[in-house]
Amino acid sequence: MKVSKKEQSYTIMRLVIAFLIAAVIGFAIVTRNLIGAIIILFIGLFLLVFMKKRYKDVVIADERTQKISEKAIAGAFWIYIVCIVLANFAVFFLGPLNLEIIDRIKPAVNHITYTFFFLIFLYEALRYYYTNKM
Amino acid sequence: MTQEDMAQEVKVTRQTINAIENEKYDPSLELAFKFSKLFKAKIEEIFSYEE
Repeated sequence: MKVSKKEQSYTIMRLVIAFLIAAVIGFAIVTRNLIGAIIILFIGLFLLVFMKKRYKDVVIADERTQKISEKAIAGAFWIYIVCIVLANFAVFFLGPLNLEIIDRIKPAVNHITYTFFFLIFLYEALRYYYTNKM
Repeated sequence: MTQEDMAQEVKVTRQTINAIENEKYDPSLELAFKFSKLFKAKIEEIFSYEE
């Protein structure tokens, strides 16, 4: 499949900027330089907006890509639910055996279970919002 | 007209045009109308519906 030069350069530039931002922010967080990380984040966002304006005629997202994203997010959501349920089952049923590994993963499982409830809350809130909007 | 030209005209990616041509993706009504306008033809002349 032939990809136009402009589309290709736009994709490469976006990827390079995204990787650079991620690397610099990662470094800033490791060195506990929070202000630096925030500044880099804003510079990166500015660069991405600038690029989008410069490559105005290059279409990178449309109804099909949106549909693909929706399906991918829905799939990831359900896989996440299944993993959390399995992890909770493991902790619940293997807990009485006093295994060291269960004691070690229990706080993490509890933590992701709380985030899961928050995710469900967000999902229901947004579903309610869009149901009324459409 | 190339897939690239067509994609630019209706403001979608070239991959979407390719997916429609290969019957992997059904366009929305809005996109179908854009094609109709582009080709100056009725939607039924461009797309067919099978149940």
